[in-house]
Amino acid sequence: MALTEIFVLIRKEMQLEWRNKYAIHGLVLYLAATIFICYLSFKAKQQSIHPIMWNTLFWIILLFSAVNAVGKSFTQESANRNIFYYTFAKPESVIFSKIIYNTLVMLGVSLIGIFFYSWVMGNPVGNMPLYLISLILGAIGFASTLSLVAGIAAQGENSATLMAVMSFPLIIPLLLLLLKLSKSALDGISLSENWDEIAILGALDIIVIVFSGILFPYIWKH
Amino acid sequence: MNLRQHWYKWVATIFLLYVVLGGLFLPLKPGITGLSPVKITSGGTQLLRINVYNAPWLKENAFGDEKIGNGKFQIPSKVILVSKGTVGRWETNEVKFSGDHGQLLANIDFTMGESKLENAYYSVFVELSNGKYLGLPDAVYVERAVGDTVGKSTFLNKPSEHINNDREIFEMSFPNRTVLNESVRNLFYHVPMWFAMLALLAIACWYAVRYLRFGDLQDDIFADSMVRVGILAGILGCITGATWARVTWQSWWPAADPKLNGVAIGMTMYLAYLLLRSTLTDPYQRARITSVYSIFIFPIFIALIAIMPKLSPNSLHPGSGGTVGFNKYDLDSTMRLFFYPAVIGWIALYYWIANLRYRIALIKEKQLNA
Repeated sequence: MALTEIFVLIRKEMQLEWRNKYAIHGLVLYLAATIFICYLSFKAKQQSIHPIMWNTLFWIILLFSAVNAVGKSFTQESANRNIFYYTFAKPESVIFSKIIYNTLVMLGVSLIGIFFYSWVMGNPVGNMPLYLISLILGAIGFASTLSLVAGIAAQGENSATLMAVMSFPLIIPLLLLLLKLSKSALDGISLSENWDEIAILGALDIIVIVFSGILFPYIWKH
Repeated sequence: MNLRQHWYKWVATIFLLYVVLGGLFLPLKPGITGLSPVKITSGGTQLLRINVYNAPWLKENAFGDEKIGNGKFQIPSKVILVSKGTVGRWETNEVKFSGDHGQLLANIDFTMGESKLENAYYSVFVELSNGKYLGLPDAVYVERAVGDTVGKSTFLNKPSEHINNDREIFEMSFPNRTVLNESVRNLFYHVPMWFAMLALLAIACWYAVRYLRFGDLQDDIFADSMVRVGILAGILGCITGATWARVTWQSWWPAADPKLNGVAIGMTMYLAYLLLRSTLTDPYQRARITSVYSIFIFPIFIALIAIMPKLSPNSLHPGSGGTVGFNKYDLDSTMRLFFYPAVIGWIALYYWIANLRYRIALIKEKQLNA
């Protein structure tokens, strides 16, 4: 059954992460260090930061964390082990489990990030629930787009460079839409007036996930 | 040479020859390029100097011919100034030529007097003896002088006589528009580059799908050639666009335009495609991975250069973000006669180049395997 297969693979990812915690710890530390650098270079010097800059800075931090977090999806385990997964799991299950797991990681990163970021940089957000919705949609979008790109980049030799070069242009349309939505949340505009932007973002996420499901099997088979 | 097999080469050669020759040698329609002064204070007679580009009376050699004024030649008979909102209208029948006949001199008495006329921008029209007009929209600002409040006004209040400069009868010449001027000819080069790029990338995407379905390595080499030549078309589109922007928008790369930014991002995606290709060495793996990437980025590329600029609130490009489409400039469809062949011709030419590159790559592949 495909669903149980996905579930088993997600559990495997979590157990792996739990056993050697350095990856997740490293990610949180990376996030904290970046936010603190931003705090030192903006807030501590000028006492105040423009809300638009606050928002853009936070999304850039999230973007870099996402590239780091998702980029290792396929390079973490050895090629032999990938062949082992190939023998018993459908490629669709592999990519969907990666997307779901990465979405969870990105949600965690976003929530820890917004907490720590608000702590040191202040929080000018007018409509927090809408901002959280944009964070959730962003987490799904980042995770799904970057999972497929990570799968592609893992095939090449210099996969870290490849990952950055391929993912940044791809993520920009998503990032622009996210910036627009979170800007609305920042200005305190109500949820009901942002339905079409939420719908576009949701549609984009779904399109990327469907595309990943169709295209990933071709990457997976050797 | 097999005619039927190489039809697109003939299409490219003939269409582009026609477009290049016609696009360079057809004249622009006559039009007003500028006038001085651009700001007029009322209360007294003012001399207007109007510069006319491609003046029809010069072309027809109206001087030295005795038939002037019988309606056959297009010589200026009237200079009219019209404002947009509140109807203000000044005109004079006394139009003189200056120097080499490319400049017109018109004396107009601007007196506002007791009328309720307000300060406004006026469009300038030159009426020709055969009933046509040359026009320049919002060219002069007329404001009331401090003492100009008594006496009879010289402006004519004729709201029914609205000048419709938008109607042009067909003749073989390109439209003459403010700011664009002669650079309008660039339409046959700049826009078809992007059409060609889109066409080649679409073909590349289609062949990538074909490779994933049938696994024929030739399809992948073909798709790769299409992408490479598509990027070439994109670079040339950027160069022709930058020169055009320098002339019309005063900047090589106007930062506020979403189309430019979209294209810059889109080009990076395809350059990343080339990078990805160069890192993979096994031909089958390379074909598979780059095909997947190519299929994945093509819809995003379309969204970046075609859909996002249309949604964005401000853009300099015609037809996106609140600006009028280019067809508004081309009222008698002379441009279309060259634009459509240009699009077909450039696509055919780039397809030809990509096909040559494909054949070279095939030969190299064979030498490697031999």
